[in-house]
Amino acid sequence: MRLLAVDIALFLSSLALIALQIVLMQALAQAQGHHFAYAVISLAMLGFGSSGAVLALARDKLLPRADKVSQLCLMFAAASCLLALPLALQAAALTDLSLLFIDARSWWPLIASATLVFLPFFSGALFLGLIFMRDTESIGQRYAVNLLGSAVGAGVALLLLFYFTPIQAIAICAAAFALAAWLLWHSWLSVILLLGVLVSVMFITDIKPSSYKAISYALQLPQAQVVSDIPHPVGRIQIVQSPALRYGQGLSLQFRGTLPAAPHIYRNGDAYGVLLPDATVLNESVQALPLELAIPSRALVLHAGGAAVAHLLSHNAVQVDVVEPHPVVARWLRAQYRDDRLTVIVREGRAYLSAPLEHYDLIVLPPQGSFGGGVGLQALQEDYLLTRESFRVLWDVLHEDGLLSFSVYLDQPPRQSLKLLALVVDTLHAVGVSDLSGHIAAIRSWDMLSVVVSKRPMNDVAREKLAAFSQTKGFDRLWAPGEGVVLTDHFHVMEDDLLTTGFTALLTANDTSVFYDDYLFDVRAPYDTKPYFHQFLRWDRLQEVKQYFASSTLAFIEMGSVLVVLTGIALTGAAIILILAPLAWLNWPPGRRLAILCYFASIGLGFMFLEILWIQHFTLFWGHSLYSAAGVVAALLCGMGAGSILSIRLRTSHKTVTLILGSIVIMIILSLFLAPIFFTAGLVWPESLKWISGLMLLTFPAFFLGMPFPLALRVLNQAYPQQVPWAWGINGCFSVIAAPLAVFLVMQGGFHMVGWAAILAYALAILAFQSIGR
Amino acid sequence: MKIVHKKEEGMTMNRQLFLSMLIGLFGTFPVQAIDTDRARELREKMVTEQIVARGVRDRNVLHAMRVVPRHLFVPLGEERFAYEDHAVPIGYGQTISQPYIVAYMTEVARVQSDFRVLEVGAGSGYQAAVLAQLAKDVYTVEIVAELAQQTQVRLRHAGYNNITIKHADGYYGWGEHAPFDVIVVTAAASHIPPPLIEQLKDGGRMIIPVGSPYMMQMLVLVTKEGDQVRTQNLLPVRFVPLTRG
Repeated sequence: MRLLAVDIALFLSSLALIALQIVLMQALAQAQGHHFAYAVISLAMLGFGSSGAVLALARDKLLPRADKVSQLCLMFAAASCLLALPLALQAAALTDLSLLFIDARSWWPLIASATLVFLPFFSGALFLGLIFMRDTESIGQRYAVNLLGSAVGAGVALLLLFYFTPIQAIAICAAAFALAAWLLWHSWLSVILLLGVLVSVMFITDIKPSSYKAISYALQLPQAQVVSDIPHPVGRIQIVQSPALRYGQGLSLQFRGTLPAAPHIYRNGDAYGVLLPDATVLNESVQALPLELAIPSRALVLHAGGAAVAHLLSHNAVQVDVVEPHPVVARWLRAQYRDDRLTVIVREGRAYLSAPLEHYDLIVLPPQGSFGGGVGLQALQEDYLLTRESFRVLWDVLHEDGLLSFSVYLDQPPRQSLKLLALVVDTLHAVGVSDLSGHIAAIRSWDMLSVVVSKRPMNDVAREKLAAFSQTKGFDRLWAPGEGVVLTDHFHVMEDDLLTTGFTALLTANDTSVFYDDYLFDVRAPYDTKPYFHQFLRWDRLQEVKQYFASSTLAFIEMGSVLVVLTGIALTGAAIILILAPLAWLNWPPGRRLAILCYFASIGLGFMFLEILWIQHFTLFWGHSLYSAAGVVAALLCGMGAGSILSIRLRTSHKTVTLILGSIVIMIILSLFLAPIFFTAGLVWPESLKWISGLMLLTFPAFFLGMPFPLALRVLNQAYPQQVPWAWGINGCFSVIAAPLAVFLVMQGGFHMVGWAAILAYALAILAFQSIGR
Repeated sequence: MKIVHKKEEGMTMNRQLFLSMLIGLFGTFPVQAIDTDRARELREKMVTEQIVARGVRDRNVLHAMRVVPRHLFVPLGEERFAYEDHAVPIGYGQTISQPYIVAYMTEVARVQSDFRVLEVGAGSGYQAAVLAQLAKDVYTVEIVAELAQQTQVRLRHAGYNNITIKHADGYYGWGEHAPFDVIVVTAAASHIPPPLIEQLKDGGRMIIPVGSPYMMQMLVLVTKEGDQVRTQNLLPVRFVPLTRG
């Protein structure tokens, strides 16, 4: 009976620990931004690693009091979820990322936030470690319960995010810890904690997001109010209304009318779209260019969010298909624009393009960027709509005389506009167009560039319409079909000519690689294997970028990439201090130290490389990074649980371990080559089939991935028991380092680079085990 | 010096304003502080090292930057940062802009002694104080009521009597005093408000930072010649995200 209570407690706490990771990713995305998602995984790993170090240091004192300490750990985990995590989120929201590079004091909220996030993971992991250390005879069973609980936790996290705000979901995770503690010891403290959860869920429903979030800005407007607030795992949708909340992007400065107020849509506090009651004002915007050239009979709007939909519907006889990935936003679009000509399809744009219902006269891409250029916080955000593979499919969905249209905010130096043009250029070359100039029309206002790409070369009528429209509205013709740059009026003077020279180079040069090589930023069209449209930084041109920006700082232009490096360095330091340094106090006893270091570091690195790689990979397949994180974590842990159960029955021979590690290496190699084929074929499948097939596909390698760690621990327990804490610590330390390292490698070299790094890690583990098991 | 409030605000707002006025008088800002030799020395250093070194040459602007005691426009306890080369938080999610940006915007505005100037986003009043050294009249609009009240008190104590401040949404400008020779917008906007273009005098100049919160913003110069409105991108900057549309 007691054994059962321990197992249930283990299951619950494992569930809560994984659910917390997923929920915290969403909570941080709402409080501050998506860019800290991977730091959560690292901080969780840091908690696991440092708890191992504590166990190693205080093994003799903790083991005799294991029952009491484990209950305290669980209650501390529950209390820290209730008290520390809301504070951590608030501290994260208070962090001014750009001031990090100017004012050292700005680091404090970030450090405080990371420390507070670390607490429940540390105490939860300390409980797990203590149970593992105490119950060495049944380690396989305990490990299996732990992994199964973790797998279920990933699914539970998604469910929680459907019905609760992240802060409420965190409180529910606290309930799991408190319940686990109560199972082990019927203490009134556990009951108080459970009551605390109830109070928290009822009364602490939200935290204030960063003042730099678009929604914070909107809510300070006069009479601003949230008219709808719906939680969802792929992003909480809030609709804000205010008489001062207007949409005037790309607007002509000749316009003297009144901009109508329009409810704005925010996803996780970031601007997502607008519900325009009256879209006629968009006739005064550069975004009207495609409709000035030709009124389509059937148009497709991808990830529109609202403005383009309203604009198209304001023209009679246009049938509009809207592909909107967020189900809540799709509902709002249907409710806002009740029109028989409108069809709203809830799918990822990329998935729809693979199996379209129709072919179109006009395809409108979502507006990109922000005026002046972003600070690069989106650099880590995968975008499978803006890749070469996606544009090839998109081209086939256009009618023979169809138009592709996109608008992009002008950034300085130009990056987003040129990368979008690079995607067009690559597509035109791929379909055999040699004279690109006649297929492109582009105009710009002071803030926005609008580009139309025609499948057939444009004629004189189109050129005349373009000239008339731009002259009337005071727009500059950046590119006239067949003529090139025409800045006769020059209504808007930019800082330099980089945009015009970029257009000229990409649309007229025989060899565009010269331009790409020379350009300060990476504006090459991205591939599916490196789907980071918003990543522009070239590390080899850092000095020149610094010179270009003079007194400004690099951080302003590519903060996402810089943050990956900084968090990687900070977490590595923390891992060494919290995990390896305490162990060093114990002195590392002799006995296969190098082999132990290599083996446990390799499997720590290799596993995390695979986890991060697959999370990124499956984002395309399952449609969102949070779905992908939950699905990958659940499948991996479920498979690993089964693998670890089987590992109990396996002999710990060289042959067995080599066979398992060798199988892992072969499976990674196969996955690198077969995954793109699988994703291409499976993208059009129904969602249920995608989930079943994806989970099954991941569970198979996970089964093998669950064996190397317990097998090697068994060997150490038998031959070198004093090395067990070190093995645990090394594995934890390198798991912490692996998450940001994997993200960095993916961003620099694509999925294949991380895949090969994982292969190398497991190959090294094979060699290292030869020495451990000798 | 006068302050204009929106009539529709009731007793609650008046009470808030009264309280904030008390805070303004006795708490947040050192209105009782005086200029010192040390402050003058720091200001001279600021002008030489931060402003002249970056290319601001207008002698009137440099004089204004030397004269206006910036440390009076930062919150109590933050005075030591007043003359440093960065923005300083002033509460309510707002900042007093970096000295160079203030000088640069003022230089680009080409303010003359008979000009009527509109400032949108009064903040702590520093930019208005600098503009008031150069222009005949400065009208400034602030949407945060408490800040508007505190700034009014501060400017009065500092002796500026050609500045009029109003608590309102700066998006609509200040129609009753239009047209303006110069409009200086110190709050980042997502677009150039048509009412401000309307209120700009023929031949007038508007300096406005446009962009999104947490993003790079661009200082844009808007000029109006008859019906033609033209823009010129000047400088990428980062202002604190402010509270208006």
